[in-house]
Amino acid sequence: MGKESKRGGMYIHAVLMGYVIITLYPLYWAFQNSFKRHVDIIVSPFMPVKHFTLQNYVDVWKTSHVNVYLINSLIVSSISSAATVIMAAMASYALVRIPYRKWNRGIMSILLLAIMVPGATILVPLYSFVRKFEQYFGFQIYDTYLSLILPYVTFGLAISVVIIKAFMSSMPRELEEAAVMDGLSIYGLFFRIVFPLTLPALVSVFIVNYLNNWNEFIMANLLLSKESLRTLAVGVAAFKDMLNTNYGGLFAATMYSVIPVVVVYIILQDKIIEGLTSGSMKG
Amino acid sequence: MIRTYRNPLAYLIFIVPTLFLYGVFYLFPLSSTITYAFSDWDGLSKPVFNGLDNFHRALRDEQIWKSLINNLAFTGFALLIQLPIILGAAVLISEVRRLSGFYKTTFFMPAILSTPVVAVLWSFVVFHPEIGVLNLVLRRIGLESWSRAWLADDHTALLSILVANAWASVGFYVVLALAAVYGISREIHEAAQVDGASFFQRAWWITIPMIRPVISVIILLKVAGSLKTLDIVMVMTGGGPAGLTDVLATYMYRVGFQYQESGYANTIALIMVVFTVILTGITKYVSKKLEEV
Repeated sequence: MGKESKRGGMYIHAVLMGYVIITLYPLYWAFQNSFKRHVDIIVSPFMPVKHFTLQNYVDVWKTSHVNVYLINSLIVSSISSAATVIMAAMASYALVRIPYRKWNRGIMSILLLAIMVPGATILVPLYSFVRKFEQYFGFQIYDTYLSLILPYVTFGLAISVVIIKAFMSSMPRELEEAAVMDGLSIYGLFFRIVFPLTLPALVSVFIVNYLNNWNEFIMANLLLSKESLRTLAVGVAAFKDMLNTNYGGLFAATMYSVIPVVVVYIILQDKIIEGLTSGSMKG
Repeated sequence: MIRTYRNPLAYLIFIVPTLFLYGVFYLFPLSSTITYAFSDWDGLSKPVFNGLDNFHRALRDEQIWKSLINNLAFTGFALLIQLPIILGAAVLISEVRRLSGFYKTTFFMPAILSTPVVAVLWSFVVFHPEIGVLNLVLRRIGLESWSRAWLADDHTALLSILVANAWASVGFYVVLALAAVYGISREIHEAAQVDGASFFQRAWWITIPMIRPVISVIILLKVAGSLKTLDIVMVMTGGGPAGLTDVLATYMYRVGFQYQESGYANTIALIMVVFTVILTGITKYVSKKLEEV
């Protein structure tokens, strides 16, 4: 290609780099100021760090239970996402292979309802239902991990089934046929043949659910009142109000939430991007 | 083969857990939304059916219409500001060979951050009256009089949220559009280049028309998404100052959980669903018509 297109390429890179700066600058700014003393943030928030300190991180860790929130987020997200994937995989397999057409179609259309009707719609009744759960089922879930896990699994199921089902439909039947010849039951087919075969799709569905659960704010804020069960997303929102004059502390607290996610993102970026975007195209 | 699959017990075992949870935590609350929308209910005592009273009230409730207009501001901002940026960025990335992976990874990054994190970043880093970048820049270039508390100011609060929201969500769609742009065969572009088409001509006459299906999907997601906007407004302003940045969902949240009027909150929720259905319906119709052209 000629000289002119090379110059064109420079312009394109300049525009894209501009957007990279817009994307990263707020993160960089908060990151940098999390290592500054309070006075330095007030006097020169723009400037690079002059008196490096980890005091903000230490203070926040000691006084505001970030460690507890972090563990809560880990527990809730891990259990919810794992349960979602296993249940969605089982349901998808039945919907793809077991030939009860009418039922399958009915179940699918009910599931698709959740993708169309915004989740916020059911917030008020969901809250009162979770509070009164004991009346219906004989045990309390309000203010336990379950009050988040069960709704998270439910809300993750619809889109997960859509993605996994699409993947399973494209699976060749021959392997399963051979396995049936060898005397495998339908459960054996699922656990020993189908599950390993669909693992790549399941992993990306798991990641998507994990991220959604990790970042979920509205329900986590509403369905738990105990501070000891609070998740990190709710914690960050609380810091925003609590630490609104302790800037360094606020930025350090935010970084506790940002850094693990960004590190995982950098390692698994292709999987994450693929998973998140494929869901929205199908839904 | 079919004999192995035709197994009612296995069908139940595979499907019932999903259906059970889904029924208990989704369908049941959803049906309650519908019945409570027609009731007087404080969330604790027994709901009392009151016919269309809540809907009559809603028609006269100015806050609902103000909130709806704010929802439409989200729609408008998404379609008029975000969409051109999304398409522009996708086309530009597809033009470069070096660094394209880096751009993709970086642009996508805000999509993995939680809304509270986005709210902290923008409320403090950008819009904060004392340490925020925006006011500092204005002061430094001598436009001190323009500086303000962006999120507390009647004139700028909503716009500030719209910008923060756009920052958080654009990258995701850039990647979505980029995948479609990469799907266009190189030969078409090469042929156009041989015929002397410039970069802008190729983008406008080849790339954009060829990724129309993805553009339709993006528009649909944006329209539906703007009507269910909730958490970004809640964390950034809580609907303030004085309800000016309320969207339907934040207003519903306040009515339900602060004013304890759960019945009326469900009415608002139902109105939200109706508007979502109408607006996405119109969007689907229009984009279908456009595709026929």
